[in-house]
Amino acid sequence: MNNTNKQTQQTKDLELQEDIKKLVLARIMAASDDLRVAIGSTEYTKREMLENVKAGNNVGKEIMDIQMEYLRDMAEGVIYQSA
Amino acid sequence: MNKAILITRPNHDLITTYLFQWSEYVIRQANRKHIPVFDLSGKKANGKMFTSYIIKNDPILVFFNGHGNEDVITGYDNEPLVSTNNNEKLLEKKIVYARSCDAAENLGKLCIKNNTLAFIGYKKKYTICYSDTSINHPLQDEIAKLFITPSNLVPVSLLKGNKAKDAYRKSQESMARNFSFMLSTKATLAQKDAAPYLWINKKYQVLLGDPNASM
Repeated sequence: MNNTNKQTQQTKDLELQEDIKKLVLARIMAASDDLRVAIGSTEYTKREMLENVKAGNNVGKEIMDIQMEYLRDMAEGVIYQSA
Repeated sequence: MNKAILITRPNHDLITTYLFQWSEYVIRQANRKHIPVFDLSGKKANGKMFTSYIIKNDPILVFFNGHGNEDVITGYDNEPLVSTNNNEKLLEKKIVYARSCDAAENLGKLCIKNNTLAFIGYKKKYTICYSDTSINHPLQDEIAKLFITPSNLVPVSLLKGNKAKDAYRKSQESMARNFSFMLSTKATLAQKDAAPYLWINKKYQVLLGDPNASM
């Protein structure tokens, strides 16, 4: 891959990451205010989840990973085979 | 090896407090079956007590509740109870259920290499969702119930004499049922929103070792 192609790919990856972030933020924003989530040893309110995803820190990435894995499994039909 | 269960259930934060309270169901089931329970609750869930109880009482079933990672399961105030290349041999010839994060990944595998009969746990973070309005009444939390009841089925099934593979299957089936409910119109919005997290618990719950192991 030459340098121009590499840069194009990196730009596409960044755009994809931004789109994923927007999707996950929209899902959390639409969620019930009553929901709290404990991931590992820490628990988060809806507001805290939004802050972490917006900040793109490790917790935010973890929340994004969970949401995206769920959506991918749903799109691929894995969920319906299992449920 | 004694037909008994040892439970660790610290209660130093909200998550462990939920697991602490919901573990009462497992203790009641053991009592109904007249199976001795060694209950390391609260501050008693520490390394010294754990080692002492395991050596002295030699229970066949060990049920951990607490935080952890790939290499360690912790007790009160996150004090390590068992960790890789340290004291995993304490779990030799036992059936283990680790309701803690990631522990099946390294610790569980190493336990099986060191003759643990069966290890049921999670290869990724164990997640629980709660209702913000129920945090002072964990047993009445209709969101957490969907997560914790299926996981309680692992030790409850084992206490009934089921094999490890059946305890695992029943827990998986219960998660699948709850997951279907969460996607249905009968679920509240918060229960629906919690569905992705239950899905991840189901996907990464694993059974290692002898599927036919039983108490």
